[in-house]
Amino acid sequence: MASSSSSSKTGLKKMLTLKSSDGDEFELEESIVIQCQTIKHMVEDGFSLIPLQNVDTKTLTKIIEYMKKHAEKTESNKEEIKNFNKEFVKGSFDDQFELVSAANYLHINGLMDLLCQSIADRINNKSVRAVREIFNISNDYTPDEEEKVRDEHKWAHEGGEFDESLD
Amino acid sequence: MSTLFRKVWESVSTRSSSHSNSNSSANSIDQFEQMMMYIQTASTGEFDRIPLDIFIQILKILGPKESAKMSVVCKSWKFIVSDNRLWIHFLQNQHDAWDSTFFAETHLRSGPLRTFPNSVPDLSFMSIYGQRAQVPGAIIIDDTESDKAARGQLKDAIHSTLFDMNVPAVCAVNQAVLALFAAKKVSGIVVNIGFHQTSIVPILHGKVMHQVGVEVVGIGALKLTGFLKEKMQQKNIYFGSLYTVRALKENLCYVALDYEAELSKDTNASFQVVSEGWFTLSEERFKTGEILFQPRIAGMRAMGLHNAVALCMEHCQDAELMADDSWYKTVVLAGGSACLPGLAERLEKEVCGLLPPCMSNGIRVLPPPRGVDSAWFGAKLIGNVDIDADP
Repeated sequence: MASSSSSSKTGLKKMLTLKSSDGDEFELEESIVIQCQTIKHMVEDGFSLIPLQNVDTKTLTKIIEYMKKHAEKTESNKEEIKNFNKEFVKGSFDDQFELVSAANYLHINGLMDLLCQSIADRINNKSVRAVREIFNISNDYTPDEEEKVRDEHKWAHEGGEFDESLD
Repeated sequence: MSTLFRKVWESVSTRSSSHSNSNSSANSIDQFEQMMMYIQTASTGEFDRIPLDIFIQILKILGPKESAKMSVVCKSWKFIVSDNRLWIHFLQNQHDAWDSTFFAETHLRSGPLRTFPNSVPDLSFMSIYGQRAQVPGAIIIDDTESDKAARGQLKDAIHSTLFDMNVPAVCAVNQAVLALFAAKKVSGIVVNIGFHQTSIVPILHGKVMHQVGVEVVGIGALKLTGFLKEKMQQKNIYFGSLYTVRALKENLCYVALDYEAELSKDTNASFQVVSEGWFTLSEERFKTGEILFQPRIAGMRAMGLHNAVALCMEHCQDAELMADDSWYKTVVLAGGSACLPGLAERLEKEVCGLLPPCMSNGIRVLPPPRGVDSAWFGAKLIGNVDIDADP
């Protein structure tokens, strides 16, 4: 579709094309896409085809889903958006890291906050061992060193049971 | 590995650019090399995939306790978790009782000042936080209107001595506030007679009301001593040093309740200064303190102390911070020169004379509650307790 940049003044909805790193193109209304600061600036500079080299098709699809939903945000559907957000962050950590990097690159602040909160929630109260498992981190301390580091901040390890589960 | 390299570099470069006028660039490169030594073999696991800023953002959401716990995960996590900017954030965003200890935001905001030579470990706000989580803090007294240079020196002092001495935490509190606490008050006006100047500081619930305005009069202890010195020279009284003059000021001088009446009295009195002998003074005894009220006696164009206090009270009244106006009617004197006998009574009399009855009613001027050590006692009080409520 060849909508030109001047068409917005004629009342037609201005369309933009986003291109993922895999080469897939997505056509969206400008009003939806400008939630993303990076694209907004490119639109202001007159671009209508926007290549996103750092975002693959899978991630871009998710992000478009998010932007579409949030473009509908009004006073009355707060609850609906909330439920959408809750569903949106259900996924593997792998996907979430992919998303958070993309959201950071695209400067979608709302999505950034949502994802950071979600990742934090999932680390919260986890045992150190569980965190290592989940994020594929190898422990490079010797047992003595680990004991020493634990001692340095004893206060942080006090109180309560920590969650050992890996979800 | 390259991602981690980039992260470290970002962190180091933002750190050094945030205080660009310091001479830290050479040091931060050393520090950078040290980091690289061990980080080359390390990985943050899946977190390698996200920028450091986001990692820090997630830690901020996790909160101090969880973040500190995560330093045990692996070496590179410990390095990231120990980031001073993160802990400054935690220290500044307390919602519990620590608020009431007026944490030294101005000092903390500027962050670690510069990297010290290797012998001195870098200041870790993380350990400050940890220690502060367990024990009440120690206190540093900051002079009321100290200029930037003095603040710089204070910071250096904090670095070079206190943290080496394992002081658990440092809290910079306005000296005037401490003097008020020593008088067991949390609201009132503190008249702090400093070395160079006198400040009149309105304080409500332990916070300096900068919006009301702090009055500063350019007369301090130095001027008083200088004036007495001049008077003694005029009378050809010989003295060894300015310390002698100061000793005489501290022991013979006072403030007259009625200056004119005092002039006609016989006010001769003597004092023995060790290794200098006896000195006898007369009208200089009360003229010295009088320059606080009548600066022109000393040839200065400045506002009298009573005028400044009355002005401050008017500002307090106009600010309408409280439904009840009585908070500013307690005036507490602070500073060595405030110990001059008769000063509190005279100030009370003069201020009441300047203000309309509705405002002057109930004004009380208290002498320094603990003499020259008032601020110290105030500091001791908040060193041990949380101050949440007006007693």
